[in-house]
Amino acid sequence: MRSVLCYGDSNTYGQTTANKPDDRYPHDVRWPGVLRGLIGNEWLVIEEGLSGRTTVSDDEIEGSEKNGRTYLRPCIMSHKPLDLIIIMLGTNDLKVRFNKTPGEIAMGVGALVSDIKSMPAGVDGKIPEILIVAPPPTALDLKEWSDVFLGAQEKSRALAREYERIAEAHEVHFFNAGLVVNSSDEDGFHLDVQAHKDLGHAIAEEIAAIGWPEQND
Amino acid sequence: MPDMRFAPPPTVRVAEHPGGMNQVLARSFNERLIMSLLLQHEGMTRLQLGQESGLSAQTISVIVRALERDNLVSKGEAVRGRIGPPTTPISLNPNGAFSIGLHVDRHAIEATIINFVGEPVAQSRSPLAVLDVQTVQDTLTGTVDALLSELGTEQRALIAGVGLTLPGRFEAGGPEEQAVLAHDFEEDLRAHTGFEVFIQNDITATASAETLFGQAKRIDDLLFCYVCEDLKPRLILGGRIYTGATPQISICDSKAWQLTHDAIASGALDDDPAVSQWRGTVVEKLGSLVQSLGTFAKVSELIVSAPVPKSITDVLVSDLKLKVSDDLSVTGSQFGPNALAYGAATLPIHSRFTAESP
Repeated sequence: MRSVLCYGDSNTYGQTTANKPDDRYPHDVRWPGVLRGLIGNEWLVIEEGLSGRTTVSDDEIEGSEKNGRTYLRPCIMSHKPLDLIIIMLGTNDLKVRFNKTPGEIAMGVGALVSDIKSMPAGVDGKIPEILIVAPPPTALDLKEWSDVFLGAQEKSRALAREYERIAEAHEVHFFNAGLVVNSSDEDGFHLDVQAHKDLGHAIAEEIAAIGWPEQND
Repeated sequence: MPDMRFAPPPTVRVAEHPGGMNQVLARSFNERLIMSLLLQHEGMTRLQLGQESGLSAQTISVIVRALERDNLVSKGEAVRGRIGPPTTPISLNPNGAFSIGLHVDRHAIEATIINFVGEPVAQSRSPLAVLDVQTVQDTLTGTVDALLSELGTEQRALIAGVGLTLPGRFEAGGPEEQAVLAHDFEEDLRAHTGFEVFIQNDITATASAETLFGQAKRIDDLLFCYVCEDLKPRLILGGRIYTGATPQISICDSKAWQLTHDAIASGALDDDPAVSQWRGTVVEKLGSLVQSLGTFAKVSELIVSAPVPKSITDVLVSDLKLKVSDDLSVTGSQFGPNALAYGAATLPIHSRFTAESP
């Protein structure tokens, strides 16, 4: 049995698109659940999504627990050994309060990759495989979130390119979620049910494409 | 001084314009290693590429993405096996690169353009009125221009280079012929086309083409023999062609070869005395060559190439099978009469995209 950690924000947590903050899709609807349905007989799929999680920043409004960097180490230690870590973050870094360019958001993802590589959290003390997933661009209309995400429409469209640069520089796997899903028009930045399903399928294919040798046990 | 661990990453080599010049950038050794594997085996998964190359999964992932961006490989459809997860085979994109081959023969310039997987897309033969530097020069440039005009703009932008081959010597070579062999056509062609030019001995080039696209794709030890008025063998051991001094064994004189060649062109076979004598001598001399080779190097494959239609090569092959021992497998080249120009065309692909040098 292999294990994959899905480390992300509200779109990994399964936050619904309707503007009801506590609402979460059922476990088999959100993408890690879809993934579990597809590869669950061979993989332990671990969900670690938190609404509002950033790549590397404390959030002065939402709290320091949203910092994706400080939680990453204890999180990995709780779940190791891991074969694969999927990181899908960056959407919350688009918030105007963080004042980050797309390149800097990508560098935050790069910092997480460096942190993972500094820990022997893989099987047999190796480093796990790492898959960076660029989140899909926001919708053009961000409704009541327009102020919070001022300028995010344009910046989010540059993320995939910047993430690929980071993936290249760190020699890790990369997937652009924008190729298969869009942010919902309902609130502008969350995924709807169909998007979770499509993303789960796409991630399953990406995992398979990495190629995994037969396990001996 | 900032902490360089957090310096912005270098720009990714992205093909901004499809069909741009990106692919002519030098590929890294690891990229060429992966392309060599894909040239050898059609459709490999990333797992297989990792196992064959010894590179890590994440390195393979980065390389495959870089090759995808430059349209050199295409991702196949996911194959769902009965057991295990689906696998996505990766193949070379036939239209990801093109290459021009020019062969200077005694009587003509033979030319061909092949695509990335070795399929000919254009061919021509331009006779040489006389064999001197000026005539060869003019015919080479004219031939290249004519071939290039058959390609679209997009394909022209994907040309990996020009391969040029010449024989080791011309029969009955006078000073004019010597001057042709000594002249730097490489530089002429580079200046005329703007492409990188690769030069090689004609037989070595076609033998190396066999290892890249032909019958020797997956064979490491073999004897390759090009047959015309002479036997021109090349020994390939461990996938490497021995390029040192190689014997050239005479089969007949050029006049007899011309007769044979003409007879073959007109469709004659058994009933023509020139052809049957040529066949007989080839089989006899090649047979004894194989026999003496066998006393110090064990090769189990013989590949025969000749500037004749495939049906004639097949006849030679079956003649040879009767002559040599059963544990030597004899095959005919699939490249046909254009094998030398084809060999020239594989030179740029070999040099730019594979981990071995021809």
